[in-house]
Amino acid sequence: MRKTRIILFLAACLLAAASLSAQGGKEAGSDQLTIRFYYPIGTAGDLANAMNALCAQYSEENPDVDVEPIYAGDYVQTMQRTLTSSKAGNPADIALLTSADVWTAVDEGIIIPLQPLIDAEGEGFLDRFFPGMLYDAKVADEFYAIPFQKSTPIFYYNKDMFREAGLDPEKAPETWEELAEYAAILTTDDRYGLEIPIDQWLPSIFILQNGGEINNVEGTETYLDSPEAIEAIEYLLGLVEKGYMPAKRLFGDSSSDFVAGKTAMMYNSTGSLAFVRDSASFDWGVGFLPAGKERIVTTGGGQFVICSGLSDEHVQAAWDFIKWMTEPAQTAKWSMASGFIAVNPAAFGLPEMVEYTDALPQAIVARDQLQYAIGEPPKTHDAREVSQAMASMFESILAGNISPEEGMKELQASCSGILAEYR
Amino acid sequence: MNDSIAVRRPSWQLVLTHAVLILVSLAVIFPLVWMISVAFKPKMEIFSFPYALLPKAPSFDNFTSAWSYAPFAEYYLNTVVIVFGLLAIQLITVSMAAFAFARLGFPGRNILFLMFLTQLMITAQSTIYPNYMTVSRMGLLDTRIGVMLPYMASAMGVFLMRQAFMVIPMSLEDAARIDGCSVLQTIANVFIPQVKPSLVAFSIMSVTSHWNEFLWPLLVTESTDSRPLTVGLTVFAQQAEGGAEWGLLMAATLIVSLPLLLAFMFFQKMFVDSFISSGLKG
Repeated sequence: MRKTRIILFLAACLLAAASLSAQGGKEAGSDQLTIRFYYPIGTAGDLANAMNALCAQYSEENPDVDVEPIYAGDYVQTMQRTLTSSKAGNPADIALLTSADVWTAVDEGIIIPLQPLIDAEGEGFLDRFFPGMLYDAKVADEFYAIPFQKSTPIFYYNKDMFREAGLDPEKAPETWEELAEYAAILTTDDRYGLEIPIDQWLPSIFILQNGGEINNVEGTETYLDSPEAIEAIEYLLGLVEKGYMPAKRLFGDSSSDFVAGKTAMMYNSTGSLAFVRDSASFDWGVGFLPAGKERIVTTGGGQFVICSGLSDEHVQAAWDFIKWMTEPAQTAKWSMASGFIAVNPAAFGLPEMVEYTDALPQAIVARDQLQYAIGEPPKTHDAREVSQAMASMFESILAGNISPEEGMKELQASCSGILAEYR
Repeated sequence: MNDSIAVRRPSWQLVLTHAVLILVSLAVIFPLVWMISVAFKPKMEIFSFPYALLPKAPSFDNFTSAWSYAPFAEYYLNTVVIVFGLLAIQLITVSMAAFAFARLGFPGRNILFLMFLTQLMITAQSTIYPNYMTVSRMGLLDTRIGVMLPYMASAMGVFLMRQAFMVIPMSLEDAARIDGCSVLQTIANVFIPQVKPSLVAFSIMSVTSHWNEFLWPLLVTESTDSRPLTVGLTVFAQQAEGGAEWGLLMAATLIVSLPLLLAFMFFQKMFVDSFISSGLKG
């Protein structure tokens, strides 16, 4: 009796599995074009619903096209998915990739150059973007991507702590010297004066601000052992050695530390603005990143690419969707939902965006800082591997395991090795 | 049965043992308690210092917004169908294969079994690409069957069941034969009832691991019709830039893991036994 029940149960399970999964398949639309779009989620927020709403709106306005947004995990997983499906002969139409992965996608031959499509739009199409955001759209000086969700690091500080320490709460440090001074004043027994998350993104800014360079335009060589680069890392090491700054924090750790009052100042992405706004129980402000010899900031985030192996019809439909997504209204919506900076400057003139920036004036600081923006370093082939090498060497140097000079020489050698096959 | 020969331990030893056990269980349970505490806290409270275990103004807000961020109801259904559908299939394939390896004499049996076992040494991640190709060619991308396909046979399960079958006396099998049982009837009526502990052990391992599976379903599924819970959960866990929404993340984690937690509480003894017996018999 019991056995029969078990067998019945198993059979029921099987039936359920079979019948339900049969519904999983998609119906082939009659003459409707389906555009599959892989996107990652890069910041906190109700982003999946926001993306679904945008795509649904487009499909409604353009009944012959059905854009299907497919959440693909984080940036790494989105790249993995794009690569796997393209290699399996089942490419998506559009993917939203981080700058490093755009290079890899070009090397793997899975995305198409966009210059012809840009040219077809006529003169001035690219004027709709902040110029500082176009660096990441290029691979070795050729357009392969269109910016969509972009961020940039800004300087966050706790105004209450500034007041306590007798510093002007309306003025963020302007230079490296001031930054070190402020950090010294603000460091106490139970908090750091400053936190700078260490990967390749932020230390690169110091190298660039110090007059150094990260790589050549072709992306086949790095310049990480230059005196400027070594000096920049020495400056960071100085902050760590004096105890003003922890040697190793990540972006999420730093923003958590900041809202918990464990650090008075931090470098962090604009992606953290909403989080800090919602979680900080004190008065806080943002400013431009302090300048070195030059004022330079990097950008990060994701850009649209179009996969190769599609029919002309699909390419055109994908391009039309990308164009629509980068219009002021859509960039404003995405910016407000995600905290990324709207890539289209005209978005900031829209009433809904004015209301948003009135409530979060810090977002305006981030926008204004964009005039000093360049792309996301390193801009090389195998950028993920180069980044990895940079991040782990910066970490070792700041942990005191190796001297800046030796470390940067070693780093340059290993990056040179990674890039050898592309020269 | 040990009571009669149990050695009386000095009481300080008992106290020490219990102190250590209590400390360890506190360490284990703390993350769980913390998760529940944060899940009920409003945003401003999560980072306010000093940290408190009890929320000052507990609310369900995190749960309601977490639930609305992704279609969790559909994801729940998908996970249940995938996990239990897979289990049903596995139980059949695994016991039949195990019977063949344990009791049928055929040339090359041992070599074949060895090859089967080498599967255990290959990490699932490294087979993702070939599996994707297979599933893609069969037209099963974005279906629940596609998610289940690579796991329909289980080397671990076959190994466990084979070891269990091996110790069943030959005479039982002979008796079944004499009574006129076919091979399938012998498996169903004689072998399966004898190895229930192993079956339960395997089922529990299968359910927990597939309930928690993430990367593979993320890759092969695209739509709400086939995506499991874990994929929904990661919507909250991305903090590449900036802070995660911890309240939402913890609420969502609780939503996703609650069934397993409850199951663990109800079947605690079986759970523990399953890992012990799988260790001993394996």
